[in-house]
Amino acid sequence: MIETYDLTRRFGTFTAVSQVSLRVPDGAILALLGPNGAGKTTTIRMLSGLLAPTEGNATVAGYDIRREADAVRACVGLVTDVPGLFEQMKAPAYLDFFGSIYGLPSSERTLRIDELLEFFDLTTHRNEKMAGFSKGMKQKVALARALIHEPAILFLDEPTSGLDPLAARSVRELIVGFKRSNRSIILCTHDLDEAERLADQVAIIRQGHIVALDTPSSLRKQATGETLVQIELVDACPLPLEALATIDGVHDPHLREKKATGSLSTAAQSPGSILEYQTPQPKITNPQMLSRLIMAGAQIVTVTCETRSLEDVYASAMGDVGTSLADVRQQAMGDVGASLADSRQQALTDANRQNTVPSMLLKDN
Amino acid sequence: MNTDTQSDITRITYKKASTIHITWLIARRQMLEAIRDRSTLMMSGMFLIIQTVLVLISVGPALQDHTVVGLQRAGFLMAFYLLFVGLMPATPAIGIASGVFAGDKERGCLTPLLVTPASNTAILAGKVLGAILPALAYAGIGILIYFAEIALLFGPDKLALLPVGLSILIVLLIPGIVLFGTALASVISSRVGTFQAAQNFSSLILVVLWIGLYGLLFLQTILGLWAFALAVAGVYMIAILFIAFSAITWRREEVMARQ
Repeated sequence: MIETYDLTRRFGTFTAVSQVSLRVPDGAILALLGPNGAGKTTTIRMLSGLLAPTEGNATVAGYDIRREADAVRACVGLVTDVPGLFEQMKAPAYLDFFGSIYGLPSSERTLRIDELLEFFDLTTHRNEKMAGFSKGMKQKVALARALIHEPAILFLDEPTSGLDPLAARSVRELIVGFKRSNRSIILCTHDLDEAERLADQVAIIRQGHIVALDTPSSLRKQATGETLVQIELVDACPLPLEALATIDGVHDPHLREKKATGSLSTAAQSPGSILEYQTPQPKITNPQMLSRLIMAGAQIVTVTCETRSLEDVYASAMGDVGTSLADVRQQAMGDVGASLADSRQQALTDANRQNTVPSMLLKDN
Repeated sequence: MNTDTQSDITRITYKKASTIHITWLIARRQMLEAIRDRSTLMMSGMFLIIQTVLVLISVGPALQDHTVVGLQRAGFLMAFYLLFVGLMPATPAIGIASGVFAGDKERGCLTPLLVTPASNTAILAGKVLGAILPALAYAGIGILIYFAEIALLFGPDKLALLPVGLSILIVLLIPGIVLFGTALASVISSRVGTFQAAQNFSSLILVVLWIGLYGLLFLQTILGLWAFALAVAGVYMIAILFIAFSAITWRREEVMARQ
């Protein structure tokens, strides 16, 4: 269990982390999302006993990070984006060094090292110096080092940074395994997909402030409220928009020209049109809309429903530059959903949205 | 990768290791890193070659003067070079000491150590000790090779020309200076933000130390051997007090607080 209360860290006049309050139960993963310099690493350093907070406090596995920093360090494991190995050593000797510092008896160290090397598929490399390891292998050794003393708490600071996709997937599978073993995990990442897939809770941090904190699905729901529906028609829409707007639940219907797809043959075809609208209940609204269009003679090519991804939520949280930090914090603490929904509304009306936010052709989820 | 076995990994109960044990573990690790540093080995080897050449071109001709005054001069020259050959091979190791914290921090090797339950004292003392011991070893090797060179090149009897009191004090002074220089470089390394800054400060300190040492050696000819002995004792006292003060006041949080 990790609990923080108004955790703040200043470096001179610069506030790296400001009044961060979080709670990560046992067996849960919290993803800290934010750009470089947002305060993710500083937060983790405070929680792992590497940096004293300027204000506020936290407990990690029941230990006070101010008064019981040694006890905190004994029960946490930390992995950073840089493996930080003594590369002239061999993996077993390296793990043995850290096992000794944690006070593991020699026989148990040997057992534990063998288990970890097997677990991380490094047994065949046990007699090689780590200098020759790939980045993925080094990161595995770093993970093994963090687990040598069976920590109850894990702090993973961009653990998949710089890894190839397969190695990154392996590390993600491991993180899920750690969670199953009832560890509390804080995962710092830039990777929104990673956060969405792994985390039970996501905290979006900006300039040291938590600007959004909830489950990934709740964040998406709070941010969207409505689904964007796009109906691609062969020709022009046979019904006036005013008529379509009368369908219950259809908001802001509008037409736009279908863009050429790039090939000359396609571009030469009739441009057709795309009907777009938003609805809070696509399962009820869409059948009505489609039957009306079909009855009016429309030829429908595709229907897509676009719900907001965590990326959109993140972009909303990060892009609200007009709002003062105090306002952002107020929103985060008071009504995260409202602020994100507002931000999304603003984003939807942005004429350049299609160019700036990747279009997600998702089924209604 | 076998993720299913994670929950099966043996649960371990353990007790915190003693500060002395952890200090030694860290020191041993640090020593191995320093000894494996190729640039240090190359520099130390180069200094040994320079030392041999110096013995040949300086001490050799001096030993040709067989008058009493000439032999006394040769003895003093050999004692003068004793300080040189003791400290020169240790100098790269003192330079390496400037990287024990700042260098490791830049390579990302320091954070895993700082996040362990090892006490601040154990970490600092281990790092400093790990920097000091190889430097002392290099100094000792330098002195032994110097004596061996004189014995082999000019005969073992020439070693008797060394002024006993002064030579003993110089041999005692060398570890004191190595202790002080290495500890100072290590502590500076723990209190600056970058390796570059640590190296700059350490280089400056080494220059001041060298000037101070030769000044001290010159002054002993004026003030006498007792003054020199007091100076040697002073160097040890300053070094020990400095290390003790650093071990008491050093906090790992300060290392991470320097961005």
